Amino acid sequence: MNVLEFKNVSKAYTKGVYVINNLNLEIPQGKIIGLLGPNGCGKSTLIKMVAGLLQPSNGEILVNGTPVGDETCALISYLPERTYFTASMKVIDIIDYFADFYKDFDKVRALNLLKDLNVDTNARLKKLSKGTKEKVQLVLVMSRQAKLYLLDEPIAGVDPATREYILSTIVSNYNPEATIIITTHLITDVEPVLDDFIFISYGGQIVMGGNAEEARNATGKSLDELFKEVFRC
Amino acid sequence: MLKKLLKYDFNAIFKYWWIGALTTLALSFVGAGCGTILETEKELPPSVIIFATIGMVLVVLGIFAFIIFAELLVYVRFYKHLFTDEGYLTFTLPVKRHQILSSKLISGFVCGLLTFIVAAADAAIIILTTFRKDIFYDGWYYDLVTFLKEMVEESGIPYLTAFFGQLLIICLLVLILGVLFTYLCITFAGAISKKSKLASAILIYYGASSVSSIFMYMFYFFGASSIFNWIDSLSSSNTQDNILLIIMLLVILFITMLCTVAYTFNYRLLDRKLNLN
Amino acid sequence: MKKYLVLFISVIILSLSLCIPSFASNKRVITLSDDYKYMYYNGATYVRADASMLRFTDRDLFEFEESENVTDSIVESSEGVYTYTAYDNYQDYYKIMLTEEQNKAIKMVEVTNSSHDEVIFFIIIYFCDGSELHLDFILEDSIDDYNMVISGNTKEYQIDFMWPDDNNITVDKDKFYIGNKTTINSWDYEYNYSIYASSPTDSFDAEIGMILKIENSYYFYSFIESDIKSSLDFYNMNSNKKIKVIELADEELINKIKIGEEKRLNDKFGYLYNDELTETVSKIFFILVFAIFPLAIAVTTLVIAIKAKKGVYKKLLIATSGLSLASLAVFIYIAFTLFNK
Repeated sequence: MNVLEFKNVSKAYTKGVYVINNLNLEIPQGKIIGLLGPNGCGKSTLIKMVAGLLQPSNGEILVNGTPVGDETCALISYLPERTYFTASMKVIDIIDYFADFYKDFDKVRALNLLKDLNVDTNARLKKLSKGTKEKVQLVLVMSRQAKLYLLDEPIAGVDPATREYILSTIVSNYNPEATIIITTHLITDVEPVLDDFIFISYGGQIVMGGNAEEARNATGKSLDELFKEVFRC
Repeated sequence: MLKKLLKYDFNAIFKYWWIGALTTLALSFVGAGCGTILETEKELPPSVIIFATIGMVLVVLGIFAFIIFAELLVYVRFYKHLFTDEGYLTFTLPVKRHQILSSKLISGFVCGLLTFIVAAADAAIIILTTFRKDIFYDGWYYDLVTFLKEMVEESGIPYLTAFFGQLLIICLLVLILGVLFTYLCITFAGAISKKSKLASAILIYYGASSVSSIFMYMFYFFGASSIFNWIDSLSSSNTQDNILLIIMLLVILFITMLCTVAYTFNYRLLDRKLNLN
Repeated sequence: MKKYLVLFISVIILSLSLCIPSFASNKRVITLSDDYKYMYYNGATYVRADASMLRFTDRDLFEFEESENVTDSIVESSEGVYTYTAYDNYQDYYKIMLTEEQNKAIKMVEVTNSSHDEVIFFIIIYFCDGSELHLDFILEDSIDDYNMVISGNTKEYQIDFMWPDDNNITVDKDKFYIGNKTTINSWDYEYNYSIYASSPTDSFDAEIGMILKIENSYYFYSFIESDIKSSLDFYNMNSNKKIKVIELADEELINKIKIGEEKRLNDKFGYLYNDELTETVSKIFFILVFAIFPLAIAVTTLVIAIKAKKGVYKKLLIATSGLSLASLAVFIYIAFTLFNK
C-alpha cells in the first residue's frame, strides 16, 4: 500500500507562478526515501503540504488513503528545518507535551536517547546549543511510532559528527514499517541510508527516481555524482 | 484534545498573569493609602500630599498597565503560537483547526474576564478605603448597599438594572467579540503578509478599530436618542418594558452573529490560507 | 541699554503700585448675624430664603464642589474682629468678617454670588465640630420680587426654546391659563419647553413650569401647582404618573410657540439635532445595520454553505446564517411594534 500519494497536485504562492505544477507521485511504505533537489525547487513546499502546513492550490494529497488533516497529523512525524518549540520550555516539558498529544510517542525511549546525548532534561531550550537543539527535536520526532516521517533538511547547518549521529539515530529508531522522507541537498552524507531517491526539479517536476542501489549499479556513479550531472548549471 | 490545548494555553498565559494580578492588588492597597492621605481633613505637609498624588497616579497607571499586559499575553501567545516557528508544531498536532481556535478563544476570554475582575477589585479597594468614612458606619453593610444604589442611580441607568442578566450576557459577548476581532486581525495579517506579519496585524487592527469606532459613534449620534423616543412613544409601560426586552434579545443575537462571522472567517483562514514561511 | 532697563523696571513698579490701591480699596465685606438669619453686605441686609426654586435647575452645581477657588487665608485680627478671605465661583473677592464667638466655632466659610447683581448669595459655613450650614441669602429689598417669582405671580412668563441663543418669547401670564384642564401621562410628550417667571428687575428668574407638546396640541404644566421644585424633579418622575395640565387655547400664545419652534428647527446647530431629520436618518441607519447587513450575511453564508463540503466549516456557515435570520426576524418584529401603534 502507498503511504503517500500526490494526485495532480499544484501549488502557487502568487497567481500564475507555480512552485509545484501538476505533480503525481506514489510513495510506498517501509522505505527511506531521499527527496533531493536544488535550492528553491519545492522540496520544503511538498513536505509542508503533506504535513498540513500549506494547502495545495489544486489536487489532492492522501496519507494512508486519508486526505491531509488532523487524522493524518497523528500518522505523520514531522521535523522542520527550524526549531519549533517555545524557547522558554524545558526539555522535560516538551517531552510531556509530545506524550500528551501523540499516542504513539515513546517517552522512555526519548528519555534514554536524551540521556545518551547528555542533555539535561531540566534545561530550558534557549540554553542549549544549536546542535543540541537539533538533536532534541530529532529525538522527539524519532521517538514516535509514526507511519510517515518527514525530515526537512535534518542535517543542514550542523557539524559532520552531529550529522552522523542524526543519520544513525534515524536509521536505528524509526518504525521499520514506516516510510521516512528526507529532504536535503547534502547528498553525500545521506546517500548511505537511502533506499530510494527522487530527484526533483523546479516546478516540482520529477526528473529521476528509483532504488538508490539499482541506480548506482546501473550508472556506476554515486547519487551525488548523478545529482551533479542531472542538475548541472 | 481541546482540554489538552486549553491546559497548555492556560499555563502559558497565567504563568505570568498571576504575577501582574498580585502586583496590582498590592498596588491597590498603596493606592488606598494614598487616597486616604489625599482625602484627610488634617493639615499635612505639602511634600506628603505631593508624594500621595504621585503615588495615586502611579497606582492608576499600574492598573492600566496590568490590563494592557494581560491583553498582550493573550494576543502575543496567539500570534507566536500560530504564526511564528511555533506554528510548525501547533499545526502539525493531531488536533482539528477549530479546536486550536476554540482553545485560544476560551483562554483569551477567561483571561479577559479575570483581568476585569482584578481591575474592578483594585478600584473597589481604592475607592472603598478612601471613602470609607462616607460608606462604612455601624451598619456598614447597609451603608455599602445604599452607596452602591446611589452610584447606580447617579449613573442614570436605574431603568436598566431590571435587565441585569441581559446586560451581563451582552457584556460577556462583547468581550468574546473583542477577542475574536483581534484574533481575526492577526490571522488576516498572517494570511496576506509575507513579511512583517506582526506590523501588518497591528496596522489592520488599528484600521479596523478606527472604522468600528466611527460606526459606533454614528450609532450613538443617530440611534441612541431616537430609540428612547420611539420606546417612550409606546402606549403603556408594559409594552415599553417588553420592547426593551426584545431589543436586548436583538442585541444579543446581533453580537452573537458577529462572533460567529469572526470565528468562521478566522477558521477558514487558518484552514485554507495558512502561510507559514 | 541701562537707561532702557531702568525705564522698563520703573514702568513695572508704577503699574504695580497703581494696582495695589485698587485691591486695597475693594472692600467687599460680608458679615453675618449671630443667629445666621441675616447677612450684611455693601450696606444692605440680606435675609434667609430657600433659593432652590430658582432658575438653577441643578442646584448641586452650586454646592461648592468647585471650591478650589475658596481659600482659608491667615486670620487677621483687628479690634477683636476676625476675618476670612473667600473667593466665589466668579473669582470675585469677598471678606467675611466674623465675631469672636463665630470665629471660635467656625473653621471656614464659602461664598458664591449666584447673580451678577449680587441679589442672591449661597453660603456654606463649616464648623469646627465638623457640621455644616448651607444658607441662601436674598437682598431684603428683593424679597418681594423673589416671592413673586417663585410663586409665579409675575405679569409675564418667558418660554425658552433652548436654541439658537436667545430663542425665547415673553407672554402674558394669563394666556397660559386659558384652556381646558386635563390629565396626561408625565412622559407622553414629544417636546418640552421650560417656562420662567422673571423678577421685575431681571436679576433672577425661576423655572415655574413647562410647555408639553403632543402631536399638534400644547399643554401647560405648572410646577407650582404640582409642587415640583425643578425640571430635574420632573424628569425623575415615575414614567406612568398622571399629571394635571391645561391645554393651551390662546391663539396668540400658540402662534408665538410655533414661531419659536420654527426658529429652533431652522437653526444650523438645531439642524443637526432636528428631531425629524435625526429620526429619518436613524431609521435608515437601523435598517442598514439590523436588516440589510444580517440579510446579506445570511444569504452569503447560505450560498457558501450549500457549496461547501460537510464539516466544521459548513456547520459554522449554517449557524451564522441562522443567527443572521433570527436577528433580522427580531428586528422586523421590533420595527413593526414601534411604528405600527
